[in-house]
Amino acid sequence: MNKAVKHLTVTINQQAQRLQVAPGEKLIDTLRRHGYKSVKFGCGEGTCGSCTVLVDGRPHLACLTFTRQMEGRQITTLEGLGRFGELHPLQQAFLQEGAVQCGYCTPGMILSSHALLARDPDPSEEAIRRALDGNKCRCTGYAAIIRAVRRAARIQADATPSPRARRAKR
Amino acid sequence: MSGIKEFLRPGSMAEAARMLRASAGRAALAGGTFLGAHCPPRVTGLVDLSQVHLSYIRGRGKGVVLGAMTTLAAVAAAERCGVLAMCARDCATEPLRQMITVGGNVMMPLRWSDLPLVLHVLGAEYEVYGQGGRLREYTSDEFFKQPPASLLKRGELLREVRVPMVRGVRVARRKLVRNYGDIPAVQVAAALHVSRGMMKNVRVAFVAQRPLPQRLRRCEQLVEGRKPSDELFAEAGDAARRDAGTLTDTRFSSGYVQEILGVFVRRVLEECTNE
Amino acid sequence: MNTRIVGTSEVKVDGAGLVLGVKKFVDDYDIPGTLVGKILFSPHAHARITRIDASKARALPGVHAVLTHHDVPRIAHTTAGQGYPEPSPYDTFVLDNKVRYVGDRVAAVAAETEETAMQALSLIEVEYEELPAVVDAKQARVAGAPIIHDEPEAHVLIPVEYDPKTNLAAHTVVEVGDVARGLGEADVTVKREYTAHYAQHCPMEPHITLAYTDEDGRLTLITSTQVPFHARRIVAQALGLPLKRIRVIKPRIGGGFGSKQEVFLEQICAALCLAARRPVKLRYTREEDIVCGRTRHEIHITMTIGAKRDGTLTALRMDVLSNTGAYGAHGLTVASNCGSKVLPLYPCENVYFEASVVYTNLPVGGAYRGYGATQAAFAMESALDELADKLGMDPLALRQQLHIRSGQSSPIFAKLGEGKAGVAQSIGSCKLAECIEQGAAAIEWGKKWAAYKAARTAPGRVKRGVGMAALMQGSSIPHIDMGAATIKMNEDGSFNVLMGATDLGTGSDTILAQIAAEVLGVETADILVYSSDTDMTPFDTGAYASSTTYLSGNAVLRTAEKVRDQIINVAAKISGADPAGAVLVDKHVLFVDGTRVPFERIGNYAMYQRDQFQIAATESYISHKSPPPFAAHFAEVEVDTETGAVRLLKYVAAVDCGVEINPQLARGQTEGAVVNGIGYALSEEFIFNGRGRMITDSLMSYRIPSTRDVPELVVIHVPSYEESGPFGAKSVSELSINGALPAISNAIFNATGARLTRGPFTPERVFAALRNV
Repeated sequence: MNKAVKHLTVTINQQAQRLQVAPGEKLIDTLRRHGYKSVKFGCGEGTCGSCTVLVDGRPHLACLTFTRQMEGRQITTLEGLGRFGELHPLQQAFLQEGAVQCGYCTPGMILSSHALLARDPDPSEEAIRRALDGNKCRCTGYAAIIRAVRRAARIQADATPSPRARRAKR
Repeated sequence: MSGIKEFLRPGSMAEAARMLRASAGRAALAGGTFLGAHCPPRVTGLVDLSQVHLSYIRGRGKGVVLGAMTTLAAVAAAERCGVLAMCARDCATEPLRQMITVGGNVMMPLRWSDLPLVLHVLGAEYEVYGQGGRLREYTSDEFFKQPPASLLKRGELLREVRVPMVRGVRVARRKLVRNYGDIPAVQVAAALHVSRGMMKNVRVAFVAQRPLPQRLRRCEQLVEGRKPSDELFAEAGDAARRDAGTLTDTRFSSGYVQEILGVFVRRVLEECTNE
Repeated sequence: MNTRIVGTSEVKVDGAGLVLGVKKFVDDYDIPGTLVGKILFSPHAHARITRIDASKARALPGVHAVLTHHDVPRIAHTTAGQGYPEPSPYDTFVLDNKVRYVGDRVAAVAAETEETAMQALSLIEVEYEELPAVVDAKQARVAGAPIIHDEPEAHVLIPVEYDPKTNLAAHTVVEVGDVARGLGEADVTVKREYTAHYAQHCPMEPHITLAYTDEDGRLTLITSTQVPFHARRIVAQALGLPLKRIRVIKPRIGGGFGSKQEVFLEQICAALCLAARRPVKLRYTREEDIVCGRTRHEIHITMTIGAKRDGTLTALRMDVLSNTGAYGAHGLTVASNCGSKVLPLYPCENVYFEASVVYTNLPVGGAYRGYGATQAAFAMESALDELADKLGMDPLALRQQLHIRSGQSSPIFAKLGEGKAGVAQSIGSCKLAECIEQGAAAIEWGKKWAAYKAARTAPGRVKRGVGMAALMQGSSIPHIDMGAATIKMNEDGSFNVLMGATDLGTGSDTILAQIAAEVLGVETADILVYSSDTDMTPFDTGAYASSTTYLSGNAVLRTAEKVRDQIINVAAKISGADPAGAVLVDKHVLFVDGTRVPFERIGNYAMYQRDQFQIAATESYISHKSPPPFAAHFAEVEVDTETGAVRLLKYVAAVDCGVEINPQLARGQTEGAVVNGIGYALSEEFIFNGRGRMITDSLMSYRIPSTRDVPELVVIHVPSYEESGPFGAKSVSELSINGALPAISNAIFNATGARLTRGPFTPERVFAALRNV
């Protein structure tokens, strides 16, 4: 048995998985190898954000992450958000605001935005810029992306019943 | 990265120390942002520190104690980290803030790392988990006199960073960059108190080509105990230029970098003493 | 405007797939057995390869092919993605026995893993005879300068000036009237040299090609390209293969901006595939993409303007020295565009344009959004600003007085083309005056310009300023480029639109679908687009020269009209109604007498029932003019006079691109171009060590803008209608990258009186300029 290649228990998009992973393997390669092609290679050195995934809900760069660090963690890729006919609010908003041009930065952008909205459901423009400062885009100039995040925040806010409405329902 | 033949996950500091001591080819893995990008060929094994219970932020008086594995993002989000939180919010980029650890950042000071400089002017102390589990401390001056890694023997680890004061202290920073996130050609920070109109406990430091934060002692001596004034700060700026020596950079001329160092020293002192 | 679909901000047709992350980019294709391709690059700026031995590399287990110049055909070609015969010199080989810049190709490897490939590269033994290098365009043609292209094979295909023995890659001169006389008549003259610096596109997806032989043994390339048809031709040429044995497919690509209007990865990847007899995927690292791809040409422009005291121009002279780097791709055409896309903006009787393009041992210039207009707009708009200053005029007023109007023409259009003569045209739609006015209002020029100028001498270390630039570009290359489309109808009233036109994220698939839907009386959801496959789609030159909306759009328009006619005829046959005056509405044919026949009925009838035929058409379009879009850009800056640091406070882009087929996509082009231009103006630069090696070779050191670098950005669309464009459209995608460098420079001048003649405007450059005031 090859001792160096071990099995790793990790949850990807809410599905528990046991993966064979070499000790020095990077998360971007593991994920892409297992079909999560939305995780994109842009630079391999942590400067572009195209490989952003969420680890326990927080943005990480898969090109800098050793997969073995992910033992027991929860990983989210874009494949975990939405599907045809049932887009996630962020996906809807990105489409509606024209925030997707070539689409290469989009997985990272959406995941970073997703992490932001989870901890700050009504972010200011400054907070959005800060949350996305590690995701580079060369097509849009960022303006439409920032608009899209605000729009998604509104969509999510409208969908969330207020505490009063929740009490009334009971 | 098939140069890496083993990946180990100790559950305690003692175990981590033992694993590292056992082989010169093993390196401690904190956030992974350095080793993930530039793993030196001599490293054949990684010792992942994420399970050794070093991720914590504890208040202590007006200060704070940070476990070495605390991420910059955690510091940025913790109100109790005071001025340190404000600084951490503008370090690096969001996904990197989620990965970079305090320990990794200070053990491996890089030109673009803001945190070591800020910790230096805040007079932080660094606790090392040494051989046999014995703890020892370094002042910031001791710690950054040389690359911190050379202070530690194989198997020893940075355990926590103690910042005596993160509230009630005034801190200001400036960097010479081309845009956000750029490697600064020079960055300057100052920390001080103002007591009865006079500057107290002034610390001024900079990072340039040499990635270790260095104090500008003559500036500090010049302004310590005195009232702020434009002339005084201009003098401090000039002193800084002389003390820093030649600062080279591939993107700016050294004369310019030196000039800006002086301007920045003036400005951080101004900002610290503005109402 | 009376349209249903054109003019609406429809969601992109490929949008859902992109936001779900399921659309495939080249790297997402998994073919079993694919090998990793890697290239060995030169460490020297100029050297002969005196010995190269790949035997150890070939012997390494897991290595399936190693190629050196001994192993590939020696066929001179150009990598420039242009129409054939190309105006760029044939000065490149797949692999050569000489290297001409740090980053040039030496050898290539295909192996089982990336690791093995890297190891194989290190086992290739190379001996170089280092040669003296030219690392400054101004030194390229001094007596005794090393000759970079001394190979006998280098040549040009069309009659253009080319003298590689003196490192001259191209040269062109155009004169109208008598500039010397004009300068003599001037009351005021401005003459200054401006340098537009090197830059790199940095698309988020680096260059990548996947090559494999299909089940019929044909070579198939899935590649990140803007020019699939040129890629097919050039690969056939460079490897000596029959063109019919090659298929090129462009899937989703992660940006291009001109860097992928180039065919340099495909031929070497194909060669590896054929040698290894396995699929090969060759992907550039980010460092390789920045250094060993293509760049914006570094261009020195001496701008001379003569004018009367009242601002009337008496002479315009533009002298261009363009550094094309180690190979001449796009050299002549980019330099020509310096003149053709900038000089006509300000009509003048006496105009002189001369461009020399020189080889250097530096990274290779290629196509980059703006394509010469970017560089020249810096020179022109800065020089005009200087003129205004000398005349004591508001630079806004001077431009308002001088710019070209609708109905006017410029002799430059006819005289200066892209390697051949140009095409005479007069300006159709032009709302530049409104762009200037509305943009000025948005930045509050009236309130600010004079006040900021007066405040220069006031106390305070921080100064504010506003600056502007007026811009034009083109829409396609008239008489040279061609686009075509095929539309076929399905029995349910949906249509397949097959087109060569290349969507690089710009949304051209969507725009063209909208045009088709508009004509065919259906929804965009009824249009199924398939693009950029040399087997399946008709020809299109590709995504460059701001062509797709204007040129390919017109092709789709004509094709849809032909299909419309067929539909009407079938409906007439079915119903017996008189086809005259019939229209397509809501998936029906509506006859004048009120009869309505649904598409489903028509489709089924034509496909299955009687006189069956496939309702389909293929039409082509060549443009006969290149109607310029226009823009006025405004920047407001804050300059720290102690450090030279420039903070961009606000940027306004007012654009006339004719009718916007899809307003949101058009706006996206403007916003993206502006921010790219801002990066070019403030932070992006190539820094070389003394020996021609690029040291800013990563995104850490080559600074493109992030979300934290973008100011308040206002985009104003000023509607106009271009008769010759599909539904009145012109192009929009390149124009707005040209504004930031001059507008910000002019703003710095307004704030401080310091004139920058070279970007990027890093703190030290501004600092130095301030001290020269």
